[in-house]
Formats: sequence, C-alpha cells, structure tokens
Amino acid sequence: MELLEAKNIKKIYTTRFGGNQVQALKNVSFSVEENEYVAIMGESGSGKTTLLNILASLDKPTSGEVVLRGKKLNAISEKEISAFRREHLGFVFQDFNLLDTFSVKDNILLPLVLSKKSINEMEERLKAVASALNIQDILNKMPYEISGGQRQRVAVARAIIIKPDLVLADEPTGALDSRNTDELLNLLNQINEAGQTILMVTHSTKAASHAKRVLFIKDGEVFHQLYKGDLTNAQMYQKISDVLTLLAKGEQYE
Amino acid sequence: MNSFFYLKLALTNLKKHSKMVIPYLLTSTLFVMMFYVILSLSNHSEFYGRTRGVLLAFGVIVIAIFAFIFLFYTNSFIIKQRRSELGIYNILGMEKKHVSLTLMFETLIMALISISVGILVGSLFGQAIFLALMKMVGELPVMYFEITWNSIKTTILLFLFIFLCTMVYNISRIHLSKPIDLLKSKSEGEKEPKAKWFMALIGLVCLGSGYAIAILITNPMEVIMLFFVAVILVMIGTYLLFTAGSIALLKLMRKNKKYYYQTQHFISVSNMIYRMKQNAVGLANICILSTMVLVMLSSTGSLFLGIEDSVQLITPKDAVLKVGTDSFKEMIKVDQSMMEELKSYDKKDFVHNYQFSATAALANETIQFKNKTLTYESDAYYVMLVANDQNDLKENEVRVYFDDGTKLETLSIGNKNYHVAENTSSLKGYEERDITRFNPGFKGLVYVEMPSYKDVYDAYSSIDENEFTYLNQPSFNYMFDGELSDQQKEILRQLPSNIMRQAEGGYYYHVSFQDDLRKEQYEFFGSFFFLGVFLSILFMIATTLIMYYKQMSEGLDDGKRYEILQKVGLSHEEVKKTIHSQILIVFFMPLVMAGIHILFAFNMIYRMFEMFGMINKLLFMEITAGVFVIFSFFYFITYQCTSKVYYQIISSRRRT
Repeated sequence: MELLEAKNIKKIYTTRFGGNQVQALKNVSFSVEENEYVAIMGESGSGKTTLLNILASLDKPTSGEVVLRGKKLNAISEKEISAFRREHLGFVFQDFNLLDTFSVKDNILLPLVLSKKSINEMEERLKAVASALNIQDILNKMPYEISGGQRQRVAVARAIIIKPDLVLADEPTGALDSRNTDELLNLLNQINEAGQTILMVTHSTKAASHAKRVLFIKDGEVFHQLYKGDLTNAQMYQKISDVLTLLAKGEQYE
Repeated sequence: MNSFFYLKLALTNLKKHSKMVIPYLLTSTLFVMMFYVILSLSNHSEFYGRTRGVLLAFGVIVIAIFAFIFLFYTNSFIIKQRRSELGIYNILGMEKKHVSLTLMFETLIMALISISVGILVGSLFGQAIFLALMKMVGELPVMYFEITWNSIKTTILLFLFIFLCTMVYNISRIHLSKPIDLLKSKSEGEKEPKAKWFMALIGLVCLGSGYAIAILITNPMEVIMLFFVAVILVMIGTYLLFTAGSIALLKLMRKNKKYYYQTQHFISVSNMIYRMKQNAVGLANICILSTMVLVMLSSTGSLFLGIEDSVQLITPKDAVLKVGTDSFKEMIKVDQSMMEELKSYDKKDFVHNYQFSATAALANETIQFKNKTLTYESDAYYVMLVANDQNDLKENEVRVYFDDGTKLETLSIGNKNYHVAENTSSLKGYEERDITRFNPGFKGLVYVEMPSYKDVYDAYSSIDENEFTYLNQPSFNYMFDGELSDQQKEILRQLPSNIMRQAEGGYYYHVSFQDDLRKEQYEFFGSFFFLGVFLSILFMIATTLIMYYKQMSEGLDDGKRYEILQKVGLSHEEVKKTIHSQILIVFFMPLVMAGIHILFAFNMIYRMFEMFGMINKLLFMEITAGVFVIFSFFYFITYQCTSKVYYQIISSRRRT
C-alpha cells in the first residue's frame, strides 16, 4: 500500500522583490510504500533538502502535491498543519535539534505534551521507546551532558514516540563519528524492521546503503533509483558508488 | 601600521552593531546632558551655597555615581555579545593590539559623540529646565541659565573618565582570553541552575521582616532609625527571591507532573528556569530601580503638593506669635503689653487666646493628666485647653470638642467641675481640619474652651509634672491675617523678647509668618521634588535600557529554541502565545513586585512625612496611586517597544 506519494513536485524560489528565480525542484514524482526505508541522495544544491521540507509540510511546493495516507498536504489548513505534523510525522535532524532547556526525558516527551496526552500514556510510551533505543540510563540528564551519538538516539526516540506514519531523517549521520554512525544506522534498521517507515535524506553513501531503496536526485529531478533487495550493505555501497560516479560525470548516463 | 584602517573598522563596527550601540549612545548622551545641566544649576550664582544648591549638588553626585555604574554595566553587556566577533578578528590575523586599537577608536568615537552632543543639547535645553526648576522652588528673580567653562570642563572630565574605564575593561577582556574562548558560543551547554532553597528561604525571611518593620513600627523616631534597615532587608530579599526564589519556585512547578506536562506550562516553565538564571539580577535591578522611582516621585511630589497643608498647620494665619512665662502673674502683664503693641496693626480674623496642651486619659467624665498609667500613645487623648479673650461662657462652663464625636454633660478638670455648655463641632481660631490633623497617632483629640485664662492656668497647675511625658507649656497666642511689610515683620520678631526682657523668671516665645514659611518650604521641597523628577527620569531611562538589552539577548537565545519547537510541531500561533505569556511574566514581575514594595512602604514613609508636617494621608495616597499609574504606563510603552525588538530577532531567525 502506498503511504506517501509525491506527484510532479515543482519548487521555484523567488527573491523577495521577485527579481531572480531559482528552480530548486523541477519535477519530482515518487512514492513510498508502507514499511519501506527510502534514502534520497544527491549532491548539495540538488534540491534534496527542499524536497524534505516539502514532504515535512514545512514548505509548500510551487506546484504538484504530496499525499500522505490518502490525505493531501496542500489541503490541510495552516491551523491544522502543526497538529498534523506532530501526529503523523517524526523528525530526525542532522544537528539533533534537542532543546537545551529540557532534560532528555522532557525532550522525548515534547511531542506528546504538545498533543496533550495523559501522563500515564506518556510514561508508558517513554518506557517502551527508551528501552528500545537503550537510553534508559540517561533520561534524567541534560542534552549537554551526553555524547553526540546519544543525542541522536534521543532525537530518534522523540521522533518515534508519537508512532508516526513516517519518520523523516535529514542527514542524520552528518554530525556523528563513524562508530556512532554505525550504531545509528543499525538502530534505524531495527526500527524499520519493527514496522516503521523511514525516509532519509543524505549524501553519505554509507547511510544510504542501509536503506531498502535509494533515490538519486540531480538538478531538481529524480535521476535514478536502486533497490537493495538481498544485497549486503557492502554490495549496496558499491552499487551506490557506481551511480554516484556516473552522476558526477554528467549526462552520459541514460 | 595604518591606523586609519582601524578607525574605519571601528566605524563599520559601530554601524554594524547599531541595534546595540545606538541605545547605548543615546543613554550616555542623556546622562551627559543631565549631569551637565544639574551641575550648571548647582554652580549657578543663585543656587550655590543655598539649600536648593546643596540639594542639587547632592543630585550631581548621585548622577555621577549612577552614570558610572550604569554605563559600565551596559558596556560589559555589549562587549559580551561581541566576543565571538572579536575572536574572529584575532583568528584572521589581527593581533591583540590591533583589536585593542579598534576598540579604542570605537570608544573614542562614542565618547566624542555623546559628550559633545550632551553638552550642546544640555546648553540648549538648560534654560527650559531652569525655568521648570524655578517654578518649583518659588519666585526667584529673572535669571538665565549660565553656560560656564567650569561645568563643561567637569562634565567632559567625568565622562572621559567613565569611557576610559570601559575601554580599559574591554581591552583587558581581550588580553585575558584566548581566541578559542572568544569564538565559543556562550549559550552552548549551559548548566541548569540549581535550586537554592536556603537562599530562597533567607530571601523570604528578609522580605518578610522588612515588610513587618514597615507595617509594625509607628513611633516616628524608630521609623527614621529603622527605615534604612527595612530598605536594605527588602533589597536583599528582592535580589534573593529573584535569583534563588524564582528558580526554586519553577522547579517546584516542574515537580508537579500534572501541572508541568501541559503544553503551555511545559515550555514556559523549562524556558523560564534558564531565563531566570541569566536575568534574575537584571530583573531585580529593574524592580529596585522601579521602586526607587516610585518612592522618589510619590514622596517628593506629596511633600511638594502638601506644602500648603503643612504651612496652614504650622501657621494657620499670616502672622503667629506665641509667648509664655513661668508665672501666671507675669504672663498677664506680658499679655497686656503685647496687646498694646499689636493695637497699631491691621489685623483681620484676630485670634487671641491662652492655651496649653497635654496627653491625658478620659474616664468618668474626668480628664486625668496622669499619662504614666498610659502605656501607649494610642490609649491617650490629646487635650488642648484654651481660653479665648472674648467668650460667652459663664463661670464653671466649658465648651468641648471631641473629634470622635463623644458628647458630655459635665467635665472635671484638675479638681474642678464644669458644666458642659455646648458640645461643638467648630471652634474659633482653628479650622476643623487643623484640629483633627493636629496630632495623629492618639486615640482622639479633645478641645476644651474654658471661661477664663485663670481656669486654664489652674488646670495646668494641677498637673504633677513628674507624671508627664508629653506637655506643652501654657502660652498666649496671637494670630491674625494681614499684609505685613518686611519692616513690620522685623519689629514683630523682636517684640516678644523686648517685652519679656522686663519680666521675671524664664520665658519663651515663637514668631512665624505664613509667607516666610511658605517660601522656605517651597525652596526646600521644591528642590527636592525637582531632584526627584530629575533622578526618576534618569532611573527610568536606565530601566528602559536594561529591558531593551534583556529582550535582545533573550531573543538571540530563544530564537533557536522556537525554531526547533516549530519543527517538532508547535504551531506558529502557539509559539506566539508562549512567547507572549513568557515576556509578560518576565516583564511585569518587577513592576508587580515594586507595587507590593510600595504598598508596604506607604505607611512607613507616611510616618516620616508627619515629621515634616506633611500629614495629608489622602493626598499622599492619591499621589502614590497616580505616580504608579503613570509609571506603569511608561513601563508598558517600554515593554511594547522592546518586545518588538525581541519578536524581530526571533522571526528573523526563523526566516533563515
């Protein structure tokens, strides 16, 4: 079943006084199945962050539409969009985006508090998520007291505690060292195996090689896609590298 | 090295930081101006060495000290915000001495602008301020604001010194820190403040005891002695409660899960914990400055506007003469001579009587002048016994007045029984309000009009002086309205002593003229009020500036937080609501606290006023309330303007 569908997404940025126009996305269409793990790859400037922002309803496309579980994002009013976002989407950011004024526990609970859940429910969900991500011991610490890897795990916990339809990860390994990157990627695989749909934007080949499917974006268009199938991470890594090499060479790949 | 380059860099820096620099520049210019004006006034030939001059000189010192502290404080705030920028210069290859040179140019430019503009504007507006002052201190000969090199020189020297100090401080900061420290962002990894319960408790105790002193102490002498104790206790209490108390309270709120895990409270409480850590001292400063402004304006204003009341109280008529001797026989002789001398004067509403006053108990229709049995003033009546020169009372008759409305048939005074001819509510020679206000703090006031001087003297003689703590000797009073020339006044001043020099035994007298007293009071309380207004403006500017910088630094810190919150799913509206309620609390907490301080201080200040003769409680109340309303209004405007800055910073952050 299709969970997310992006149809003919186009995004043009204009400067404030309407002078220059920059086309960030030309025409992007793709869909994400339930329980999939999709990575979107592309060089910086290829429009992948713009795409993620549009999928996350943080930004609006110039034309085209995004449909999440049968619901058109464009049709949701400005008032409801925040509530929609926090109930259906989970976010993991490159720079973690934890609030330094909250303890780890409160950071994770934040979306639940915003959705006005009962305290009992909050604690129950927290327990489940914390043990799944192995962060029970640091719940009462402040973000600055824990390591980068731990911070990203807390951010993942915050994203999945609401049981979202889709987790959107923006360059989640970007600020991590290689050991923490491995840990996080394995964690994402685990979560995915447990039934969580994930869409990740990255330019790290290693991160993308963990996904079930990789989409390549170039110059605002979907350029190519790869399915992992039964390949190992290493094999997938090689395949992605090949595509990237072709991408770098330019238009020769048809 | 080309120092022109650094001058240019300094100029660019100032322009780049105009949001921080301009308010600072404005404030320092205003300080220069105010200092210069008040210094010129206190040096003015009409003021120097007189009461008003001394008060103004006091103001000069206060402003100088305040300007120093305040400009230094603001400067340190600005330099803190610019740390990472200075670090970048350093890393880009500028040596510390080059950065210092840039900072030096910056300070010099600012000093040059604020000192020159301040003195210029001060000279222009000096005359206007001067006229305002003259209006307050009463009629003075037509004078002009004097622009003297002396005042200009002092002003320049003082502010150059202040700017030099800030410069040395800034440069020392660079020399003391490593570039890597300069680069580091300050908000990263800030520790959560600990709840200091003990400190919060001490704060509560200090504030409570300060308030208790203010309410419970009624004895005027003790009030003066303890006023500063109360002020210091309240100040300590305010600082501790803002710093430790607020965090303790917020942590308590956080412990209550039901309360804490609600959208609104969740974000506010946790944000406030951090906000209070950084801003508690600033908020306490605002609170204390606000309280100072309120107290200063309401008290100097009340004293000034209450001048007429106290003048009327002390000298109910244009001329008031009072003479007394030890013996009654001499007294009658002196009275006759006095009356003889006063004959030639044009006297309107002439009051001539013999009287004394004392504290006494009243029981069984008897006035008992034995107040040793009375432990407290509040158990005693204040009794005035008066005999007017002409009266319609028969022998053994008295007319009585009780301000509490007591009515009597008979009255015994010192072994003698009198029939009460009339229970009156108006008495010759005094207006009722004078009587009722004569001596606050007693159970009540009793005014007894007796048939003859002898009756009054006999009542006085019946008193055993050892039994007494509060007694006014009997005296003859002569009060009348009428125009008096300076020469006549001088004669009247000498008159009692000339007459009584021939009398046997000791004597005493007192002569006062209403218009002289009025002039004196206007000069004193007028200068006082002027100073109050002047300093209030200064403090209010300071408060505004603190608030402005507070909003700015908080906007910078909070911007990132709200950005994250929005990404996680807080709507724009909700963000706005949270921000709004938060600023509101932070902003109006000091004002509310200041209001509470004033409420408690009211009684104590009023007790002190009584000694100045300002006893119009209602007037004081009205003025205090009025000042509070006006101040709140300005405060609110400040809030509006500065919170706009905050929103701007936050939303500009969101756009990027």
